[in-house]
Amino acid sequence: MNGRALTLAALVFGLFFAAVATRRPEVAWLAAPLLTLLAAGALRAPDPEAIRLVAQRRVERSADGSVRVRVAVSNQGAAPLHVRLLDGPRPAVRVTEGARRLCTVLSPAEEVVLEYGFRVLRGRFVWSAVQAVVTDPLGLAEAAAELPSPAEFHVHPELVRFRPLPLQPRRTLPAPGSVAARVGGGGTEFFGVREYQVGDSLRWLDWRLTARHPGRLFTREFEQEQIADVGLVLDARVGAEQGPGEEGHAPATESLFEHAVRATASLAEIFLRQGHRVSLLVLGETEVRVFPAFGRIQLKRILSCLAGVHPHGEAGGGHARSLARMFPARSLLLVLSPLAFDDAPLFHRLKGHGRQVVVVCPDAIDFHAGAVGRDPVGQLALRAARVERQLGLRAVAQLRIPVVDWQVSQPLYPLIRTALRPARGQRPV
Amino acid sequence: MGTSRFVALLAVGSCQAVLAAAFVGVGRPGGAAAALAVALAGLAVLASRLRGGPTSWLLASLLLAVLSVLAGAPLWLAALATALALAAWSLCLLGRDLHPGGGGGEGRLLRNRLGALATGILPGLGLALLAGRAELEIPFFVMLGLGAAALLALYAAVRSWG
Repeated sequence: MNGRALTLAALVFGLFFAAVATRRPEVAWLAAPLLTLLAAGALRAPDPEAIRLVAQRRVERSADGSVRVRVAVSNQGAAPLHVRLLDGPRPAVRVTEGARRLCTVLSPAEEVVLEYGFRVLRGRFVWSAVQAVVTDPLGLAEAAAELPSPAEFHVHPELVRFRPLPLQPRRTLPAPGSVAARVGGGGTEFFGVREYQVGDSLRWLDWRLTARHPGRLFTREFEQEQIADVGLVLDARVGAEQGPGEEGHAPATESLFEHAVRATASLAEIFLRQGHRVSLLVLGETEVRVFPAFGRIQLKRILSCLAGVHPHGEAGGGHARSLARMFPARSLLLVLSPLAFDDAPLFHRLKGHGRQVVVVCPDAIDFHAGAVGRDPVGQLALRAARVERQLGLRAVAQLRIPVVDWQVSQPLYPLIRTALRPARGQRPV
Repeated sequence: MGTSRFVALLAVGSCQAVLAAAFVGVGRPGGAAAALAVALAGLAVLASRLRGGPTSWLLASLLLAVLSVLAGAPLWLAALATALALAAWSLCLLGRDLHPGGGGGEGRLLRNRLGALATGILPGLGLALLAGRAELEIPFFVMLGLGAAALLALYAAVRSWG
């Protein structure tokens, strides 16, 4: 029995009460249609044991970028069913086409298709079951059923294709790559000349030098090109989400955090394409991490991880410890964060572990400048926020950490390229 | 407007027309005006998705039906208005269950619902009409006992129904 039947029952009580109160029995007879309607609902109430509904789900990304979900529900029982269907992923989304609810009559062996689509920037979506409510034809008695049709679908963040980035890491890994390791060996760039040692290939003999020094042999050395260990740190603390986000919904609109996620994904893609070893840590959710690895599979891991991140958690001393455990000493760390006031000690600790740190700081003030009023108070607030932000950037820069002050409307690549160049000063670029 | 809403609109209009006729018949134009107001409220409920709107409208219609009986209107008119109000309420709820863009065959659902309403309401309406013609002399305390028994029966039905 549902709320509608209870309403009818309450009205029947009310009519009886009115009849008794007014001592007019004919008022009580007005309850007769309500009672027979209730009785009809009770007689045709669905039997939960007889419900045989089966759901099959298909989720795919369409050409226009939206996610399309198709659920086919069929009645494999012997009786026709009045059914209300409700479907939806977790986290919730705003459906842009079709409907995720359906009210219909399903005859035996008949199939009905629930089809809907939604657009999101990224996300990790999970479906477990279609909610079905089978009712009598009057909708007064109902039986709920869950039709299992599990599925998981990842919408990866959009990638911006960067050109290769020249790295100058403090430490390289002993594997052939694209970073000049400042060590002689089997590379392509000339590195120096040394005396011949047993085992050296005759192909690398420097004949001119050997001719000038009779009785001695010299071998040319080439600079080894190795790979770098790159750690990407995405700040997903609560303050990192600045923009039109929706509580409990997958991101469908641009926010500062979405720009940071996209930049992280793009950097991971280019570093992995260059052959480096890349890892990821999402700051604020310590459990979200991708350990160092190479190649396309690692890119998939990172993109899947980034698909599901959302701002969560607070800054704390535990983050520095997480970073210390996660990234090898002397690795190159790229931190994408709008920076909080108390972040300087965190970067100080990172530097203390001997890591090379570069901070990419999306400009929240510029991002929101359009929304601030043009009145003097708004402009003053904007100016004060800019000063505050510059002080924060300077505090980090004083630790000799290159800071990329990134206005998200501008391309990131040239700024990153400049920041990764070996520089004498460590001022913000 | 969907077909179910159109049929619900017809039921709303005819229900209040019957009530207005009942009030006019006993010389109570105020009651007829109230029926007109409830009819307009019914239109507003059909046009909106206000939560609790259909139930409030049904309550108002039943109240008018009771008042018409108390004013001396024939029972068959009040019972007919009650039956139409129930049908309008049920059809309005059906219209709300049907989601825009959801498909699902509205015509088929409407036909099923109308058939179920006919089988559910008409026996009760017939019973009320028969009762209106019958001259029953039921003492007050017997009626009170019958009411209590009906309440108990309903309670038992609710318990067994789950």
